[in-house]
Amino acid sequence: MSGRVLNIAWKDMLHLWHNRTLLILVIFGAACELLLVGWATGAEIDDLKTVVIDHDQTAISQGLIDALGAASALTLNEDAVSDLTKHNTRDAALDDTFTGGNFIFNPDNVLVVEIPAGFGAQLTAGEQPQVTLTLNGANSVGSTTARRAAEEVLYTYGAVVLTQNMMEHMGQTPPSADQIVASLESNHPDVVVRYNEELDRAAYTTPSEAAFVLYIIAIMVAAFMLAREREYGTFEQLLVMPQRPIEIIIGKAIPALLVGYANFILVLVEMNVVFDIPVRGSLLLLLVLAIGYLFVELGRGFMVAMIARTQNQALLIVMLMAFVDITFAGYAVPVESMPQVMQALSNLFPIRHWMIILRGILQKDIGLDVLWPQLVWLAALGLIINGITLWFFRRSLAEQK
Amino acid sequence: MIQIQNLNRHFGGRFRQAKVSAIAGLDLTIQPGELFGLVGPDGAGKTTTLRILAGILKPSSGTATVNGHDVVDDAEAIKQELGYMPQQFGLYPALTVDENLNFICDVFGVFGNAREQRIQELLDFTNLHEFRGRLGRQLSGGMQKKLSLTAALVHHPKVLLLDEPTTGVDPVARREFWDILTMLHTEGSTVIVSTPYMDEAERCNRVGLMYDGQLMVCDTPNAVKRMLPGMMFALRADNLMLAENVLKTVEGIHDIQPYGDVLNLLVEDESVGTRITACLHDAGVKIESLRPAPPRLEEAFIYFVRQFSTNHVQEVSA
Amino acid sequence: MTNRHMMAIARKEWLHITRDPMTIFLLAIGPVLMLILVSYAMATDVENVPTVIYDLDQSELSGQLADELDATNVLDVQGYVSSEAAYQDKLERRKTKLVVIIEEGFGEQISTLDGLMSLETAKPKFSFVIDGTDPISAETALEAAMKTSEAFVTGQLGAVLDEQQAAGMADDLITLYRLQLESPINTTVENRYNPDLKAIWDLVPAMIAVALVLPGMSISTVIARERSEGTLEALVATPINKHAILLGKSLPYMITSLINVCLMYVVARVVFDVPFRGSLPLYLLLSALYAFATLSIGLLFSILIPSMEAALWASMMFFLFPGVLLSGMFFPVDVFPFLVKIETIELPVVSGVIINRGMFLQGVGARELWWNIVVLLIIALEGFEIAGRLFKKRIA
Repeated sequence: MSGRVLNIAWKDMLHLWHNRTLLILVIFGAACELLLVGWATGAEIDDLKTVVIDHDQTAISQGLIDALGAASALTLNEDAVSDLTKHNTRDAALDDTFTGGNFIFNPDNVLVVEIPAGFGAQLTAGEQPQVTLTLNGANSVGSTTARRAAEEVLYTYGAVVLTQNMMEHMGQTPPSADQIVASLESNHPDVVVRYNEELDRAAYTTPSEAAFVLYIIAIMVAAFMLAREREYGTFEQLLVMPQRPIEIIIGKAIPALLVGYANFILVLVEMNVVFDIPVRGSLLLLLVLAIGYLFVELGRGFMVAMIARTQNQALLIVMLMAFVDITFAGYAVPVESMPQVMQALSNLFPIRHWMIILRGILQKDIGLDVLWPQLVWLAALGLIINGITLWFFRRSLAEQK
Repeated sequence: MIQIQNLNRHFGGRFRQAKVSAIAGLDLTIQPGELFGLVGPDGAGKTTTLRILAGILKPSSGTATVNGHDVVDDAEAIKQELGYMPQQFGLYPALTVDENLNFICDVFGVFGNAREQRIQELLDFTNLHEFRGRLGRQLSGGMQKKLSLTAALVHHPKVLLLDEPTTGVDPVARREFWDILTMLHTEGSTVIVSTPYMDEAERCNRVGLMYDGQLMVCDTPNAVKRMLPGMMFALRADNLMLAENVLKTVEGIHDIQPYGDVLNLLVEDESVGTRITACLHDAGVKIESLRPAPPRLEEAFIYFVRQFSTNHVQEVSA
Repeated sequence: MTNRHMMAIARKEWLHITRDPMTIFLLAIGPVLMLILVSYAMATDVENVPTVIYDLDQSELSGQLADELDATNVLDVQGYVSSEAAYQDKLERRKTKLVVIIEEGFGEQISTLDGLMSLETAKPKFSFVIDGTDPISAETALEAAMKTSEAFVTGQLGAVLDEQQAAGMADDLITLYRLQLESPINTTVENRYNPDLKAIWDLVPAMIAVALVLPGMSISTVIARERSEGTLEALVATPINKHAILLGKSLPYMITSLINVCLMYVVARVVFDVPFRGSLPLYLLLSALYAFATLSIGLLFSILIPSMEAALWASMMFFLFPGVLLSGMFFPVDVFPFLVKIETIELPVVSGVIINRGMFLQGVGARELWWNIVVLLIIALEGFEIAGRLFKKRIA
């Protein structure tokens, strides 16, 4: 039996070998994607363009502007201030400042800080001046980050000015700004961040991508290889061969398995070397579980090929499926914050469990004692999916024979 | 009129692939109104030649013109006046016969009544009427070939290039096919057809024998046959296998071809006949009959190929 | 002439698409389906982050803090743990994301003036442990936890001061303390374009652009398909103008794209209730431009990559990965490293997302979007131009 299985596997490997463009894409495509995505999403969100409108024009308001400018997350856009005066209404001015840029050389402003007249006097008198922050809602991530940074600056700057002023008022030597900032910081509760200590976004997206690489390669190789045979009629050839359905399936699974696995290892190394993401748990366990996961997804890949009649259909189905899977994998948005129904539904997607396993082993250093429910899910889903696929396959064999 | 001068075409040569010459120094002139047969074994360069003439493949060097248009610079002008039928089924397997023909009519601007009339006419011609609603992929091999021909004829092309139009077609359909070609020929079209079958080549008014990218012989079928040196004998005997082995050693026999229960022998002259009788008698083969036979194109072809390839090998080794 | 050729190809291509019910279903409904599903699942604000309390203080006040945290939208206090090992375990099993540790003496610290005095120099007696694997939700949860707990502490200490004042403490001192409790500057935050910061308003317009990659992917195999079916040879032997072939092949996909835009527009407005503030005719025009740019790129792929399988892979790799992740839907494009930004220029989806968000939320017009319009025009025309130049009406 193994000879006949390898027979089929060998044929598919040869096919891959002869198609050089495909070979290069299959081997290096994923690694390049990871690099791009890691770089793009790992970048600090900083230099967010902020416009400060100063109705106060005092030394104190100027001090606030300087403090805002010193924050690494913000970049003050001074040119925009004069533009704003050209407009008659506040709305028109805001619209002008929040639009019309381009994302590469001249991004839109994300935040407008308005310092009211009398700001300095109110602040020193302890009368809590009212500063207005207006956010550009069309860039929600950028403006939220900018708002947090601005609020922090406002709080610190206000505390420094107010404290120094009060102390002087009471005839004491005021502490330096640094001292005040230090004592303010000591007032904050401690925060321990676990697993991703720097809150690095690349440490979130690259494991996602790594999990996804294994998924998409398995599905695509399986789906497209079988769809090709069906579309070109070479499927008939398979049917007259002495292999049993299960042997054909396994034979076709081997190349996909090899390619997917090679990619996964490449991506793991890349993550470690380029993005400094260590493997904290057992690498061996991860590599073993990866094989199991591949088998589950291969079953789905074959299922796609059995449903699709042409390669183009297979492509569209894979794309739609990938979107659904991305959604339920917690790739971009954590599953925990989805509606309850969606959370329950997410259990039916193997990639969800694989993502948990991968992140758990990579970042949390956990083992089977914690991950066993995921394993049970994967095993159950794998049995069901592969069972259905085999049934599909048998049926189409019977139809053609 | 078609003129080919010193045409070369090679493939590969990049990325350490071996460079393969498909056509090497081809010269050929075809007059308007000819039914020209391009004959040769697989890989002789027939398809490459036709593709270059159709303007869909660039020659590596040399020139070719179709109706005065150059195949490189003026390919699109050629395509207007040309009907090309590729070896593979070139129409859309997912569309019906009608839809395929309508598409071709759209392309060549055959509209309205003219279209309906032309399609009727061509379907009469090819007997495809009852299959108009059938998908391309559901047609048999022969019907696919006929549909391809129909599509190539829609716009009354001045020149028709057919690449192995009858390969994989049953004998009845093949005959029908050739009847159509002959009809087109008598109507004055220039038809160039490539074929591996010698009986088809006999129906052309001129044939070119291609081998290894070159034209070995090019003349009317009768002239080609006359170019065979010596004469043909047909031998019937009780043990043909033994006879063949024995005759291989006899001098003056150029070629031996088993043909059913007959051995066709190409010999130098009539005198060889006596030698044959003697040798076979010595070997204990009982001769049933040995008589002169008219040569056919097939023998001529095989003779020239053998000649050519031995010369070729000698040239190369020298 | 070119026109006639183009229509001939378009009609044929249309027949091909419709001949195949699965493809037409996937192309016609796929993007809308994707929009609905993805928006419904992903457009979730960070809410109900599972939180546990490790309460070493066991005072009335520590209980009140837990209640306050639970009362926020963002956090969901699910109970108490009794040991460090217990919350470690919960973190590992993803049963909780945030742990609030309330130290012994917390209640005391915030119920006496001594506590207030000591707060100037000492840490407050509570801290947080958070699962940082997903930085975006971690930051949001942390912000909510910090704000709520600080407000609670301030409120408590304010009450203490009120008592002291009543007890006859010097006014000067009271003022000084009070100032320390209060935020020195008040802020009013106004979210322009999306006042309630609804994630769905953010996501749906972006998703409309992203979903339109489906026709782009689909077209990237059209030439490869002709080649693999053996029909390319006959096609290039006809006198059809090559630009007519390319345009004709794009036309049906263009129509599907536009139908999809209309459907998705309706879904966005009716199902998801997203406002549309721009000009509808301009929007349709720009959507057509965007669709054309996407199709141009798909067509280019189709011509560059001769084999069907490689074309499938390349389009998947191009349209799915960077197409979704670098589109600006989840991660802001503005802050990408410069080189990645340059790379994203070739992704029409980036401009598509900006145009969609701009027209839905900001109500901007062509003047504000000029850069993206120019980028799309260049992609569309240049992509088509290059495709045309590379597409030889020959077979080798």
